[in-house]
This record gives sequence, C-alpha cells and structure tokens, in this order.
Amino acid sequence: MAWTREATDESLLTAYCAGDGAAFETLFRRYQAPLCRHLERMLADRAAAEDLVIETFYRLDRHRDRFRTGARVRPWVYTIANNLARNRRRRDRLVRWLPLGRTEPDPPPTGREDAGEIRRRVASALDALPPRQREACSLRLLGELDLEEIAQVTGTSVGTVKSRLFYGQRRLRELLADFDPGGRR
Amino acid sequence: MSDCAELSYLLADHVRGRLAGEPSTRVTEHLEGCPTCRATARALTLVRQASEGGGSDLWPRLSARRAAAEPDGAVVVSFPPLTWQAAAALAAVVLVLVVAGDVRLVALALGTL
Repeated sequence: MAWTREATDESLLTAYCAGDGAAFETLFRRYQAPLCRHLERMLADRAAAEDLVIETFYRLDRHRDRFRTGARVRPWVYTIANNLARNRRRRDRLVRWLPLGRTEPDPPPTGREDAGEIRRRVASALDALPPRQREACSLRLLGELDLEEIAQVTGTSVGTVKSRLFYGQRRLRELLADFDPGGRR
Repeated sequence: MSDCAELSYLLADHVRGRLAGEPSTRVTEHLEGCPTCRATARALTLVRQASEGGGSDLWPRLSARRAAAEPDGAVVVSFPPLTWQAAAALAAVVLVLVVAGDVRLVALALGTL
C-alpha cells in the first residue's frame, strides 16, 4: 500500500507491526535526513552518522513489538539514536586515547567553496557549545523535535530544555556573529 | 518573560518555514524590531544551511542489514556463561597488567570485552 504524507508516524509503525512492509520504508524515509543531520552534528562524522541511522531503525524493527498504542514514535527513535551516539562517542574517546593509530573524523563532504566554509564554521560553533546545549539545539533545529519530545529524549523537564536552547542559541549567535559567507571575510 | 526569551523557542520553526498563523506573525513582527533575535535567527539559518544536501538514500543499506540478520532477530554472537573461575582468572590478568604498569593495555583489554 502507498502511504501518504499525512499518515502519522504512529499509524505507519502500527501498520508495519501488522505486516505492511511499505509502511516501514515510508517511516524510514521520513526520518533518515533529519536523523542523519542530528547525528552528524553530535558525532562530527557523516559516515558514522549514516551507520547509526541504519542501526537505529534496525533496532526499532527488532523491538517493534514493544511499541504500544498511544506512544509516540519520534521520541523513541531519537532516544535509540542518542543512546547509540553516546556509546559511539565513548568508544571513539577510548580509541583516541589508546595508541591504536587512529584517527580524525572524516572531512565533511565538499561542495562549493562557500558551502564548505559554512560547514566548517558551523561545525566549529556547535563543537564549542556545552554538550547538553549542543544536543538540545541539534534535536530542535536539525532533528525537528518539539520541546516536549526533546525533554522525553533527554530525560529532562521542558523548562530545562528551554534553558538549554536559550543559552545554546545565544552562544551560536555570538560565535557566528562575525561570519558572513557572502562577504568572503 | 521578555519577548526575546519567549519567542526564542519559535525561531527554529521560523527558520525552517514551519510557522504559520499568529505565531508566525508575532515572530516576524518581533524580528523586525529586534536586531539581537535577527542575529540569532541568522545563526540558526546558517546551521540549517550547513546541514543541507549531500544526503544519500540509506534504505538499501538498512534492507541489507535486516536481510543479513537472523530471521527471528536473535543475536548471532553469544558468549559462554561467566563462571566464578573465569571471573577470577580475568581479575588475575587485570591485576598482573596493572602491576606491570601498562594501564593502557588494561583499558584496551577491557575495551575489547
């Protein structure tokens, strides 16, 4: 069956649990771009982000029987992804610390010079944020979650999320204030 | 709460073009008179811009991953049960390595478990 854009995430997952494989593909295609953008910002590594997008939906598939009517899919997806990203960062920290000969993150994909410069400056600004502010800003802006969903994914209150977003956005403004991509500074 | 703080949570939706109706009007009007929030919105636009494009279709890779898994989704790799003898042997190895002074080797050993 062909699924329309209006179908909710929850109806897609319910249909998949009932045996409709196309619903799962529709759900995945709906999430892959924003989830990959969020994970790339969290890991500073495009290839690793793509791996975790796949792993997130592989796990969602394996544990789909845990989905309950009335629950929301998006916080669940991002909770799985955030846990995977956290584990990945721990592993990467250990690998960097050990004398195993690795590694710098892969360079971002190249494109026009302006696009490359914007990527570098933005990545640098996001890296300068405290991790929890970076996570909140990335979930909001790139993952496209609302405040309640971010609170659910990060295990905090909406008030805390608001605070992290407010200070994170303010810091981003300061860090990118003198950057003018069109001005070739 | 000031307008800046109150509206700051809507700026992400604004730069994504997802605001409509009264909230959209409020944000637009506020931005016209507030250079600070305009600068914030500009920074958020840059973040979005930096993340656009370059995405590949990951569905074939996910399909391959699922196809390679066991039909019942069971974990293929399994470990023997950890008996107290095995635990004691492991502890002895760690102790020897610590005494030998190569802490990094201990971390490596633990990291591979």
